[in-house]
Amino acid sequence: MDPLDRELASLLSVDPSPEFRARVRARIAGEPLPRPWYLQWRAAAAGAAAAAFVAGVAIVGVAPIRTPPPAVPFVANVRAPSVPAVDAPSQPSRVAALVANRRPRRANGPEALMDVSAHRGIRQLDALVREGRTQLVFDDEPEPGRDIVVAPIVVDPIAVTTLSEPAGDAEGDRQ
Amino acid sequence: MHEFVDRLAGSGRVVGGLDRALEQEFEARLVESSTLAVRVAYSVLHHREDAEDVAQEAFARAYRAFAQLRDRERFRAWLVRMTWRLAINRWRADRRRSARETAHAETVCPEPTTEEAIDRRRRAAELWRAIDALPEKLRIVIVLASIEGHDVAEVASLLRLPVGTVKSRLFLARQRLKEQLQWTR
Repeated sequence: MDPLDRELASLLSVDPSPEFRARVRARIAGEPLPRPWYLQWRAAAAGAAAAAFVAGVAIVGVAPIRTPPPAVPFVANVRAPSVPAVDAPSQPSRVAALVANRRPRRANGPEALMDVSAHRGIRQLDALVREGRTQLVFDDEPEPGRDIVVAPIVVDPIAVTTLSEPAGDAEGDRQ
Repeated sequence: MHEFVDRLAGSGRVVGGLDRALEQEFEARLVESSTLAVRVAYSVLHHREDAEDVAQEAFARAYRAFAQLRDRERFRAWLVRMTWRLAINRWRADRRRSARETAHAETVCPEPTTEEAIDRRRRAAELWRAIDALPEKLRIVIVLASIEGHDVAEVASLLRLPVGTVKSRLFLARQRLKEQLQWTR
């Protein structure tokens, strides 16, 4: 062995003190041991899957669902039809919204909730009747006041009986 | 969904077992590499307690990154480089280095009583001066080659350098040391 190597080895032959490892152990005792990379990726993948699931649920929940047109209030005694006769069939929801947002000019009579198409049909029928182009005939509708017989109401007299005398030992007797 | 939750719960048990395995592996690395780390730091600081402080800090950092340092060779290489860097930083920042060297010399080498002891102490001081005068690239190579009998391949592995580079640096380091140290001739 070269004298220089021998001197170098002797110079650097310093061993750690006996308590060195104990000090290192005490130093790292309070620190959490980091997870390996594949466990970190596993946790990240689980988090991403959960986030994707929540996002999917949110998107499906917000997406428009085809539902029948909303019911709109119908005023029975509107005189002139103000709704266009032909609506765009490709945008039923938009037309329904326009109809629904339109306020009736007179709302004197009772309101009934019905489908937009039925609403439209009744208005067209109403317009035809008002123009005299058609006539409504009701065959089996009974005339009011002729077929209904109201029987006279008989009320029996009410019998009132006297109350009996209270017992002597009843509470409050001395007063 | 229940199956997913069960698997997550099962992974918790796996993590617990893995923690114990990692702790045991780190303990093994600590036992087998503590001398290496302390000597590397000592080669820079020339002070045993300072060297232990630096080595302790290096082990603490290694512990934080141990998930990526489970391989033995990778761990030792990382530990050597980290210890060296921390020691160099401490050596540069320590303004009381000269005083410590003097105190250390008095502590480690008590008052020499024989001529041989006096000569040994003088040669050690000369060797330290010659090592400190080397460039860092040459110094780390000669230090590692002198610690624990590392050969060129092991030094190359620790420094992540080609074997040829280590050989040439080792040759240059020896040459410069011998030029400065008359007693080696």
